[in-house]
Amino acid sequence: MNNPIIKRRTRLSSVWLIPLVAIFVSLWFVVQHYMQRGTEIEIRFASAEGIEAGRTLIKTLNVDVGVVTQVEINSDLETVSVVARIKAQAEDLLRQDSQFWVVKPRVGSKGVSGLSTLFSGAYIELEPGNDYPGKTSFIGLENPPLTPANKKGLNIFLISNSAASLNAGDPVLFKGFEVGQITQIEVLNPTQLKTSLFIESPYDKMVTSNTRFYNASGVSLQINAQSVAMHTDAMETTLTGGIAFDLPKSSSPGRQVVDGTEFKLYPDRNAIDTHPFQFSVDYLLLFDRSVRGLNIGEVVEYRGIKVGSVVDIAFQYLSESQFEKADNPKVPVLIRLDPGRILAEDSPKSSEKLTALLRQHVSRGLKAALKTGSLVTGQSFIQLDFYPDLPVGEMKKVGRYNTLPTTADDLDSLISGMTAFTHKLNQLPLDESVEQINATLLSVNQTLLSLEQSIKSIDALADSANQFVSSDAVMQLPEQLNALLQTTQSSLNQIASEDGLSNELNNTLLKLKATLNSVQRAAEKVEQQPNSVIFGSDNKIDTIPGSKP
Amino acid sequence: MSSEIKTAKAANLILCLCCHHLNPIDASRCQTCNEPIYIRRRRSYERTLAWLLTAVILYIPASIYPVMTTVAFTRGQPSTIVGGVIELWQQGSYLISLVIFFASVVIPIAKILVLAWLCFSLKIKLKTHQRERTIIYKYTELIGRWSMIDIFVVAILMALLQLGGVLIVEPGVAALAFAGVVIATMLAAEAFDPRLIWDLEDEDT
Repeated sequence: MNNPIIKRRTRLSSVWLIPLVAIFVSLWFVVQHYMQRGTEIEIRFASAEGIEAGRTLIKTLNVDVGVVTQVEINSDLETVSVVARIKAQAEDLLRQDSQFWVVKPRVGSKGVSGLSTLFSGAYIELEPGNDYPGKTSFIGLENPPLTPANKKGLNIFLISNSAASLNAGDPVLFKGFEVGQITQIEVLNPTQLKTSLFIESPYDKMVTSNTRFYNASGVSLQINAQSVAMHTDAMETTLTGGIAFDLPKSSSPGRQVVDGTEFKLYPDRNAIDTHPFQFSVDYLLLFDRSVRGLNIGEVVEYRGIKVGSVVDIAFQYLSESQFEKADNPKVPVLIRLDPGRILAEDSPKSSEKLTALLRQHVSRGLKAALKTGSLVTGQSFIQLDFYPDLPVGEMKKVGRYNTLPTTADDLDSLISGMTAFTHKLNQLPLDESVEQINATLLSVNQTLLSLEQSIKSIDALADSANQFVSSDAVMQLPEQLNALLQTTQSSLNQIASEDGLSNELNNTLLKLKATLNSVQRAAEKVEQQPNSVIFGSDNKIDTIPGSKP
Repeated sequence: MSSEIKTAKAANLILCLCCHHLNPIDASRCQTCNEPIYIRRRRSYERTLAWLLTAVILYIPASIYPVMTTVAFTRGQPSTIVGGVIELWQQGSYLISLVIFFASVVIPIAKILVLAWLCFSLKIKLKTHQRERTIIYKYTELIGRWSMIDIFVVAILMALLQLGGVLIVEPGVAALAFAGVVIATMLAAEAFDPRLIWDLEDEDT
């Protein structure tokens, strides 16, 4: 049997280490959790659609960087505050220009996006900007930004008077390729709109100081004095709208442009070729006749070469007094001539040169005339030409502009001649003639009617004659006649063969003739002297002096 | 024969907890199985308290943190023990909800409270209700292990529901903490020696 072993007992058993460890672990866990918690941020949205406290994640490039902890309605009752906690590692992403938006299924003209969120639930996408970090209160976007902030490219602005069918998100095309997008359209002032474009690199190098931007939406239909032209860009822009850019025909590429440059937005493709020159001079033309058929933008030619275009047709260029005093106020047409076209020099000096040159030519007979370009469409254009037959005009100044003398066109006189002719035609007494003709026709009608009746009776007669001829008696007649003729023939033969008979006949005839003569004389006598029947004739002969008895 | 109840200690005998052979009090090893024998579980009161404290400390993160995160289509849904119970109840799984409620909430807390009470009763040298306290202790020790049900639920769900992007179950911190709670209460119950309830006149153990 062993003896019990007596050991000194320590005060605290080692088991107390266990709770210590438990406390330590819990505390460490809590501390670590709070240290790793990251920053709390607040994002303001218009609605909390798809956002759930505790569940909705915040992601960047599809990596979890945080989670929404709370969703509250703001005191203005119009926005929602979403409180989220971003992981400590991702704190650096919270920059001044970081953007937040809710990724949920969206359908747009570009297609459907965010479909995966149908299963996994909506999440908030965080896109870090390029600014310095440290922001904790953000305003969330309602829609994803059109251009990711870190994409390289060019941001430029277009100024235009109308933004027909253009929306943010529409493409920007260059020679048919999509090279960028419209990011924003805002109203500058009552007459102008400012469109912001983003053009991706490397295509942003295509944009130079001479580039012209035009609205490529829909179909551009251009009817002018020369032709009818239809132009479309890509199918997408035809249907949904877009902007395209290109160099005007006779321009060289200019300098590179920087972010923020402003350009003008031309209404269509043809407009950019109309004014490729930077410098131009405006002249005023005053026309006596109607300028209907002349469109703004129409060409101004010199003997077929384009030298400028029509800028405006309005009365504002005439002063009020001119409008009131004149007997027939002339129609002012403002044209723009490009010195670059005429003098091949595009500079401010060339504008003055041009005016001097024109003054010279005007004194030699240069005039502007309104000509009809196309009889089909009725469009007119302006032609500058020399008219040596007409009296020379001079360059005057009306308001701010110099004027060029104008004249009427050849087609003009043709038209006025035709007008005179129709006028004359109008004055002919056609009414009376017509009445007479009417009367004549009536009588002719009546004549014809009676003629009809006569024809009818002749018809009847013919019928009866026909009947008669076809009757038996008549049928037999030729036979009888034949017989008669034969007998006559034979008898005549008999007579002819006997000379005596014919002699006797002759004598008889002679006697008959003498008798008749005497009877005739007797009758004459009786006529002259009716009393000769009783008293006989005197037989006195009226002697005529000089004649033989 | 209530007045005749004697503890083995009072009769100068020691029970070997291994082979249950009664040994004389002065023996250091069991005569039958040669295991070291002690008259009472060593430092019972102290150890019980230590383990109870651990259980209490660990129970806090077990309740606060999510025991399981269900990731459906990359969308995480963490659930705490109590939160899971409520969700199951709302989804209509009343039986499971009750089972988990009992196993994970009621039993651990009850166990901690019972053991704490027993320790307290020893401290104040309570002399009544010895039988009742022993019975309570017996059942406490018996059902303690069933608290692991919740841990098994998490483990099985984790093992089965690994469906890639569709559904993944991830264990949370609370699972580990809760397992720690259950183990701590089990060890606390084991450290407690119910014979101490019956040692009325003895010195401090």
